[in-house]
Amino acid sequence: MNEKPLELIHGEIDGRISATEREELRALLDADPKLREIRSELQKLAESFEKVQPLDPPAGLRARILTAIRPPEKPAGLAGWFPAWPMPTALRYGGAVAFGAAAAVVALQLGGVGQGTPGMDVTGLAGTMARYQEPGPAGDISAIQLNLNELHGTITSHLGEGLVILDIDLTTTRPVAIVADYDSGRLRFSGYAQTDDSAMSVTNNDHQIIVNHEGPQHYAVFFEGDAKDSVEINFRFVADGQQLHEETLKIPLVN
Amino acid sequence: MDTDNELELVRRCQKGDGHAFEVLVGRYEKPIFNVAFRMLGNYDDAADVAQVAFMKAFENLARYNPAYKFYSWIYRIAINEAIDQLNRRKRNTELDEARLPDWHTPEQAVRDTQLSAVMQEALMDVKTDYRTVIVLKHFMDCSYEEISGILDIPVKTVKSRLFTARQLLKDRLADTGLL
Repeated sequence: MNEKPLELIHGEIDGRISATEREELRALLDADPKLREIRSELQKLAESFEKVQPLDPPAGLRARILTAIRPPEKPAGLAGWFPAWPMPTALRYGGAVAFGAAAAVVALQLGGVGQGTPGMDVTGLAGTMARYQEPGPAGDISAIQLNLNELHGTITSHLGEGLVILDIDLTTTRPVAIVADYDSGRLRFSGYAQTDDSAMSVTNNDHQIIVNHEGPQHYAVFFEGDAKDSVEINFRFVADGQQLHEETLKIPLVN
Repeated sequence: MDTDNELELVRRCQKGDGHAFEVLVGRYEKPIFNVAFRMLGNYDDAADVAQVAFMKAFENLARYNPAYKFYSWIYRIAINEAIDQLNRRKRNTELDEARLPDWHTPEQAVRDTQLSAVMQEALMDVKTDYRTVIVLKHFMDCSYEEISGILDIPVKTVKSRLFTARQLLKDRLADTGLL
């Protein structure tokens, strides 16, 4: 088919034809039923585009963006806990990749520990999302203190910018998987940030995050929460398929 | 869009006013996410790309040329990020195939009409160049000239790609019975 009639049809759809061209198109359409059919289909296509509604972004997207680029503010209260600005470029971009990688693991619905699932290998998915400063003891709202042979350290909860934040600072003497179960109806995993440069990744599968530890690691995990009173996160510490310890962290959401 | 006001916001950002950037994020979060989603067809990848696009915009604000509209500039960043993401997918096709069919948030499942889903499937079936012009023209309401500026290609090429893309989508959607 000659290109000219098609160009006129597309131009008509885009509102980009002159009165003269419109007349020209009308004459062509009158003379060619096939062209009328093509025009009808293209018009329906254009109408279909208009019917597709824009999607709402994930609820936590804006917080993620602003957390990653937050400008310097007074370090009072929780605001000072968030990443300082400007941050090293590599760290922030690395973080975005890391977050994407974590999301990829989410997408694969990988879950459980020691199941031997090929997809559980998250090598290469590690990275740093952002650096942050701890709020200090005054910002803590609840904590677990661990002092076992295989691992020691603390898991502390904080609130800030609408997020529930777990500050995890643990050292293990051998590979230990931390499995944290949460109520996905009340909390949604939103990302993580490291305070050190160790290679790590956080795996999330809707109601559970898993982090494989070896040696000292310090990082934070972010959740969005809908709960009004308190939430609980149950931690299990697993090594070689054996559960070493289990403890629940209760996080009051109202001060 | 009030471009004067927007330019003022950008100037404030360049001087370190974080609140001004928050306003820009609030204004463009949804369109940028939707650009990314229509390019990628994946809700979570789109969120990641939107985040990186804003981070890059923030970091490169000093290089923003106010002769261009801010949305053209940030759309361009988002499109480039989405294309990078698609290229990463190509390098890991098996992973990609494993993840695409199932990953929908409950919110999206509710909102995703059949039309949206069928349209997205058809979009993902056409080459990236064609998908890009469709997304900018029909989902972002950009003019030929704006698309030309965003993609740095001649208007003639924009039209050519757009016409071909529509033809391809028309054929694919006709096969599904949508048209």
